[in-house]
Amino acid sequence: MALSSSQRCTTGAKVLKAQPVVRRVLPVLPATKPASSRRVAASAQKQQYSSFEDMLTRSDVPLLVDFYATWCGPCQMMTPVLGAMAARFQDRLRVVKIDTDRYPGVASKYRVQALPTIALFKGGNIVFRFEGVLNEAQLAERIQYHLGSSSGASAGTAE
Amino acid sequence: MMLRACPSATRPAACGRSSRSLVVVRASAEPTDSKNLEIMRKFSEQYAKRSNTYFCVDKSVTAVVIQGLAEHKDTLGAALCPCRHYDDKEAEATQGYWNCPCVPMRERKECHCMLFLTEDNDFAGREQTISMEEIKNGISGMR
Repeated sequence: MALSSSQRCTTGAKVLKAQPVVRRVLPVLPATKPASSRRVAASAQKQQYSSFEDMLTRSDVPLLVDFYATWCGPCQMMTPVLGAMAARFQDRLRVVKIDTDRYPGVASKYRVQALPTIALFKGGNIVFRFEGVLNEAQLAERIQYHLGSSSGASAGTAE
Repeated sequence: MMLRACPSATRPAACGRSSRSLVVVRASAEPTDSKNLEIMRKFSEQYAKRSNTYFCVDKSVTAVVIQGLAEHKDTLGAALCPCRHYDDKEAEATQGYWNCPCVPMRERKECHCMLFLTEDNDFAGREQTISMEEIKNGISGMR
């Protein structure tokens, strides 16, 4: 969902078409109604947890998670930045976007408040967390730090 | 969204908050009642002028937020900030802290939605107006 006018965006982020590697949370959850109402059965919520937890525990690479909402303007600005991260880090990083209206249990569990919230999970724990918009250079630097690899991809291209 | 205008006294049970919360989950698939969209568009222009703030240089950000505000006004009866996650949206809309213009905006001109930007903000454009056409263009192609 790239912004229609994202080319005018001043973050300096490169404009990318939506990359297939930027994925939403796996649609393995039951077709429960997006639980904005609190009437979703507890078991449905547990299933939501276990899918995300599953993904967290099973992922052998760090997970970059973008918590967003459809009508959050700044969240849309992150789309090309996330695509750039996926392209830059390839198999060393997994990029996931979570719609907090569809998966409120996950968002609440991690105390997500302002959107967008970017969180980097490593070994199932959050090692980096930011509320707001980051540009490519800022986010790549943080990810690179936590990936801790000496042979970084395209060693720190200045924006 | 029409449940709030519940006309019939013969089915009070269906007109309660429980019905309204069912509507909440479907809102995103439907176009917003254009009356609230126009209301929020006008509000945004007036409030920007009144607070000496400007819209984002990328107006689609502005458009998306205004749509989000209008949608919350449709479903919750108040323009709850669309750039936040809430454990209980209805309670928050009633409580009011995050109803636009939210307390941080009113007190410190802090708008993390990037709807109202102070002049010194890197993302601030020079405009304090946005037409309905600009809004429709800005939100086109989104769910």
